[in-house]
Amino acid sequence: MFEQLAVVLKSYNRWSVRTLVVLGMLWPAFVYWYVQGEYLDPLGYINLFGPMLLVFFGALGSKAKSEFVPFRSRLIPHWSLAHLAVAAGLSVVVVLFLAGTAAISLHGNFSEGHWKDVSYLGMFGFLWFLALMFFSVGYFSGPAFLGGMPLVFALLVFRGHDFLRLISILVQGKQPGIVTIVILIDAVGSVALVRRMLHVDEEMAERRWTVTFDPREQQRQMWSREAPDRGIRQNISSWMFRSLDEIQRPLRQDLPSQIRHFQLGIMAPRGYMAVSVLMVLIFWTINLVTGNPFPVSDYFFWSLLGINSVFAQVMFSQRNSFQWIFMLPLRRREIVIRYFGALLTSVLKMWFSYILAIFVVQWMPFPGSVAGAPPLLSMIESFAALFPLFGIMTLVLMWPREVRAKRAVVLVLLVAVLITLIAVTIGKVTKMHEPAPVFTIAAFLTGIGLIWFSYRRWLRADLA
Amino acid sequence: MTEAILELQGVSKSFKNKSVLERIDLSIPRGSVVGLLGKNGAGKTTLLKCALGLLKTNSGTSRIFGEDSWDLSGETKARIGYVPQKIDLYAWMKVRQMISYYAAFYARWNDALTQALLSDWELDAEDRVGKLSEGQVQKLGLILAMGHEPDLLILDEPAASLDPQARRTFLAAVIEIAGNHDRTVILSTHLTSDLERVASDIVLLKSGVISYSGSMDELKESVKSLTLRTERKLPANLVLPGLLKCETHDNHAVLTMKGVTTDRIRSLENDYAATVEVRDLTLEDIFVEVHRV
Repeated sequence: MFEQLAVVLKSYNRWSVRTLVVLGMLWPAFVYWYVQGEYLDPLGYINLFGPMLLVFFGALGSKAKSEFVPFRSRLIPHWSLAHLAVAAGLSVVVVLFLAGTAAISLHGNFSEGHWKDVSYLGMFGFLWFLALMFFSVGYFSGPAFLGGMPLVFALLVFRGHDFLRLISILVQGKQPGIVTIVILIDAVGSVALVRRMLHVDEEMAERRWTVTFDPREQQRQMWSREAPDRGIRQNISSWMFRSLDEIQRPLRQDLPSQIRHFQLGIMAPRGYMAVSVLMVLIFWTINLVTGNPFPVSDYFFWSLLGINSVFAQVMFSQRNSFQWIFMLPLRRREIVIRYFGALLTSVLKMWFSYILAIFVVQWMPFPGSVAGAPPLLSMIESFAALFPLFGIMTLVLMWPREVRAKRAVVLVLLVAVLITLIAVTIGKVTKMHEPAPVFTIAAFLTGIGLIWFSYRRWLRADLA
Repeated sequence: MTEAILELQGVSKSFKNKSVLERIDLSIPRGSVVGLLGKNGAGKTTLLKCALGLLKTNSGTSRIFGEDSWDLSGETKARIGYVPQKIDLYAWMKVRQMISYYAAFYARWNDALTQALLSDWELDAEDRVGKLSEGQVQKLGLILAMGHEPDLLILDEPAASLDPQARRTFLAAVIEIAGNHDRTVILSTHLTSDLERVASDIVLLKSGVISYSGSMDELKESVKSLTLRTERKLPANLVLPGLLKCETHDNHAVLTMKGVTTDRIRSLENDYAATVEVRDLTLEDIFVEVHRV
């Protein structure tokens, strides 16, 4: 049995293990930075733990799926039990490590006032619930477990709002009945999930959902779930991609027309304004429910979201497309310019639709209640940040999938250093002491340089 | 002399430190249907990608229609059709939208041919691309590659995922293209029976080196199976020039040899006082034997 466990342990790929080890080493430092000498209340503790649990249990669920769902688990003796034992063992080790190092890092930062009425059982129950939920997301959706990120986002968005008040009821132990119910849900849920994993067959949902790491197969599965009749999804997607039905042949020779055509190939939908309107309605609803204006201080987030909205699907699926895209009847240089143009235009449009919504919500937090114009500089900073991010993403997109993650980390660090150096230089030359405008100019200049560098690299790269 | 459509001279390509192609010289004349054969990992896909300028060669030159492959002009690319081994088309588009998107780039597009192939291959123009099976995506890739009626069609394992009926239609389309002597087809495949039906020339690639390049007929004419029968006992290991395989059983032996000529057969009959029976080999037999040594 021990030999089997050792073999199973080796099946965890080295990259995941290394990532886990690096995150583990950074964890105490992160906790120290997060606390910064302040007292940490139970909700802060949960906020601290949540993302780590997401990363670990999401990845573990995804790994479990790859081991339990294929035929091997049913045909190879002891396969399931060995994998289950190793997953359970790893979970205990990681949770103890997280809790232990966090406790050491938090030493002296506990305020008796904050922790006086805390139900440790309630906290345990809630964290167990989170772990189970993240594991389930990983297990049922496979590599797409990052779909659980919106949950973390929701935690951040609702920080200080009603969502955390619900958690407070749990961790403050004022209602032991609820704590008991949560613990019961955790236990029943865990047993049911383990039972399901041990008896999984080919007709179960987890088998039909994404099993493969092959993007083509994942896309096939995603689109094959679409109803064949003209249901609401069909109608929405027809509206989103209506421009595909209006393609002019042959393509006009001017650059803007060709960039617009390339945009169709990066799934850039119509209806950017619709995104803005929808966001405003969502934020207004949140504000009305919570009674507080939605706090928007970090505009950089919206730059990231704008970039992510466009690059996520391109990054995931399109590298294999380059081999026919680059055989289209245009010179390589012309293709790169049009492709970059299409990506950048889409990014700018997405970013603008987000920023417009944020502007409206800050200017008018509740329908009919005007609070005043939000700071313009934050928006300019956010705009400038788009350019280095765009440069980074186009370089990452060019690299083969196997080396992307490693190189991306190095590149981000290099760009951060570069922006800082340029900002310091600009500050010294212009004698500007305000960091925000200096960094904004530095980010913009670095971004333009990086995009040029990326363009040059694309001209010389093996793209097939 | 027939004009070379594709010309590689001394092309080498390696990934990191692994050499995939070594000093490849190849010339493909106009109007030929060339079958590229090789084991998995022999470098067939890399060779095609280097030829098309999708991969940069480490050394040597590659030219298509006289232009440097690495920087082909739009006009030259419009004369090329290419179906990659793994083709990722846009999953969110419908089949007809994908065709429109693609066709828009070309000044000349044969809608009638596209419609005929869609119908023959039973592809629904209203289906989303992401919903298609691997074989259907392959069919769509072929339609996209053939719609602009290219002068040079390069197909990397095009029939691997096709059902027998679709393969037959596809081969018929290739034969039709080949019938127009201005068109050239390069076809990489493991399906030797398909190649025997359509290819006029064969390029055998073995560990990144071309081991044979020439006409299919010459290849089949030069590699034969010989059965030697004699009264005396034959040595266990016969050493003969061009011997690919030898199975000796006392007084008879079955040999697979390349470079078989009437003179060599006579020489064998005299040397071993044997009768020699000559048998033709299929392309698959030749492929297996060539890769055995």
